[in-house]
Order: sequence, then structure tokens, then C-alpha cells
Amino acid sequence: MKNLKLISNSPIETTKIAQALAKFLNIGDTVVLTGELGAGKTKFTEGFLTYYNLQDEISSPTFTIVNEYKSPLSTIYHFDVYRLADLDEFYAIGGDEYFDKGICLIEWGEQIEDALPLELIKISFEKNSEDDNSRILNFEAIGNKYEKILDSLSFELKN
Amino acid sequence: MRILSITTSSEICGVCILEDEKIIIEKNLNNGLTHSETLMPLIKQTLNDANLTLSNIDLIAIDIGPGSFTGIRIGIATVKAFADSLNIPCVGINSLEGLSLNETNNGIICSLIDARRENVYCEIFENINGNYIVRRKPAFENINELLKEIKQINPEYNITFVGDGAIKNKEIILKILPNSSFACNNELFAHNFGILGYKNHNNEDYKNIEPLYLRKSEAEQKMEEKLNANK
Ligand SMILES: Nc1ncnc2c1ncn2[C@@H]1O[C@H](COP(=O)(O)OP(=O)(O)OP(=O)(O)O)[C@@H](O)[C@H]1O
Ligand SMILES: [Mg+2]
Repeated sequence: MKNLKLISNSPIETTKIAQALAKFLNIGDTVVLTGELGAGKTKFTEGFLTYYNLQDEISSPTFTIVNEYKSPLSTIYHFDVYRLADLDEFYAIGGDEYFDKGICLIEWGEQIEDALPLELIKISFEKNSEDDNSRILNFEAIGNKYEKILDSLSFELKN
Repeated sequence: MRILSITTSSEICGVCILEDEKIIIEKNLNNGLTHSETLMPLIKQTLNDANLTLSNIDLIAIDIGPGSFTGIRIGIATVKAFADSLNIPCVGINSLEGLSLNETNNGIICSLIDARRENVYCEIFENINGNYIVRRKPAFENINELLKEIKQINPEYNITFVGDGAIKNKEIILKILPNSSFACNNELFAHNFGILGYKNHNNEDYKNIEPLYLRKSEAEQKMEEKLNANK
């Protein structure tokens, strides 16, 4: 499937969704996380890292642009590109050289759209003005491989 | 003349020592580590194995890219530090030229280094008995547009493509230019930079050696789009 819409009613539910996605991703896969401040992008990444037992090591990458988490299965690169001035800065730090080396999760990735892989998963997080603990997660798969991953994810979460 | 050549613009971290154009010893490593961890120990080990020290080196030839931004910077910074402290002459060689020497047959050779998102770094040469003459200057291009441009000039062209950009785009290359062939070796080897360094050095100041990035900056790209829109 190309699109998958999931409702999360608590941070823990977001964690579970992220863990489920982690199961289907491999080295070379890219996930872009978009949504306003406090929408849950970092929370999702934390959840993703729990799949690899790396959750205790998370720190916000806000000041470093990219953090690296090593696990035997794959290295996870957690980007926050909010503070990058432009694409040139992304290339200058060798940003695009990470894509093949591990799994990349990129907060505010839409800001470097022209440097991203042509195929990826995009997740946009929407807050709910009525409920502080509720979020809508809109998954969009670009490319065949990622459409299959969304099929698997959707099946996994139903069971 | 004893030459130390280094390549770090691709996944390979390569070091070679040559006597003129003859390889004395060469080590090309692809160990998954970053070049910042690999390069210095590799240079040391290569020199050791050849029973040489840096003071025995008459010229350093360095791969200046295009390719990995971080890799290129590590290579150039290392070489500049040597040149600065030991007064060794240096020469910068572009990676596309280094790559072209992988193909030794006479004819047209197109070096392609993958730049992601259907983009390549490209340079075209004609090999006439070992003289590699530049037929199209180094550039950053969309692979489809590059191939269309070549096809317009001559759809029957017999071009040999070399590099990771050739492997990645093999299908589309054969679709647009069916007479194409492909080189056997597609990696960047340190010795090619030594050979080219021997041929091309001219006592240039090492301070003038700069990375060859080729990718247009965002500002340049926007300007170009504007100009195209106004056409
Ligand atoms: N269902 C939910 N899913 C995720 N986070 C939730 C949810 N409900 C409440 N929250 C809270 O929302 C906050 C999300 O913050 P987080 O740091 O993940 O945002 P962010 O999108 O990374 O923001 P920024 O753009 O500033 O980096 C956390 O404090 C989290 O506890
Ligand atoms: Mg965040």
C-alpha cells in the first residue's frame, strides 16, 4: 500500500508502532519524520531504537545534526536537520553518505527534500487539539520496496 | 622519481608507492571503516612494507574528487599536512581521470561516479595509444540527460563506461546507447593516481590543491532554474 493512517493515543502506542516498523527495515532504508514541534518525531525514534535495545542511549540530535546508534543488526542514524541552513550544509557534513550505511531516521527531512533518496517512507505526525496524548501518523511509501513494507506493517499491527 | 599516491574519494581507501610509473607496493582497502580511521595507519604500513619513510618520497599524488565529500577532505587535509611539514611536492588528480585508466583499450571512455538520485559525476576521454584526451569536461549530470546528449551526437557511439555509476545505470545506458560496453574494473585504485601524478606534476604549490566537488551549490542551482524559466 502507498498510504497508511494510524492513530496513536499515547506515547507508548507511538513506541509500539515504531518498534513494529523497525522489524521490517534494513540497512540502506530511509524514514523521513515530519510534523510540528512536539508532534512526536523524537518519541517515535526512541521507540524505533527500543527494537534494537538502544533506547537508553538516545539524546536529541538537535545540536549535532546526526546521532549514531550502533547495533549488530544495523547502525541507526538519527538526524534532525531543522537547524541546517541549506542543502549545501547537508552535503558538506557528508549527510548523503549516511544513506547506504545504515537506517536513517530524519526529523524535518522535508527541508532537505532534494538530497533525500528517491525512495523512502515519509511519516507525518498530526497533533489533536482536543487531546494532548493523541496523534495521527500518516505513512506514505515512495517506491515498491516501501509499499511492501507498509503492507507488512499494517498486517503486523492488526495481529 | 618516487611517488606516494592516495585515493579516498570512494569507499576504497587506497595508498600506492611507485617508482615513476612502476608500482612498488599498493594497498586498496574497503573495510567499512571511515577513511579518517584507516588512512594514516595504511600510509604508515605501506611505507613500512616498502622500507621507506616519507622523507624518501619525491611527490605525493592525491585524488581530489569528485566523490565522497568527507573522504576527499580527509585525503587532501592529510596530504597538505605532509607537504607542509616535510616540504614534499604534491599534485591533485581528479577521480574521473583516475578511473578512466581502468580501461586500457583505445577508444571513447566515459567515467561515471554515482552521485545518487539518478545523478552522476562524469567525464569523457578518448584513449589514443595511452594518451587520454578529454572530450567532455568533468561535470555533475542527471544520467538520463547525459545519455540523451550523447545519443544526439551519435547514437552509434561505441563507448566504454567505467565506474560505479556505470554499474548502477547499466540498464538505461544499454537502452539509450546499445553499442556501449563496460569496463571490467570499476573501482578507484591508488596506482592510477600515481601514474597520472607522474605525468602531470609541475611543481604547483600544494596550497592550491582544492577538492573538486562539481555539485552545484543551492544558490547556483536556483539561479539556473530562474534563467531557464525566463527563456
Ligand atoms: N501519542 C503520542 N505520541 C507521541 N508523543 C506523544 C503522544 N502523546 C503525547 N506525546 C508527547 O509529545 C511530545 C513529543 O515530543 P517529541 O520530542 O517527540 O517531538 P518532536 O516532533 O521530535 O519535536 P521537535 O520538532 O521539537 O524535535 C513528548 O513529550 C511526548 O511525551
Ligand atoms: Mg525532535
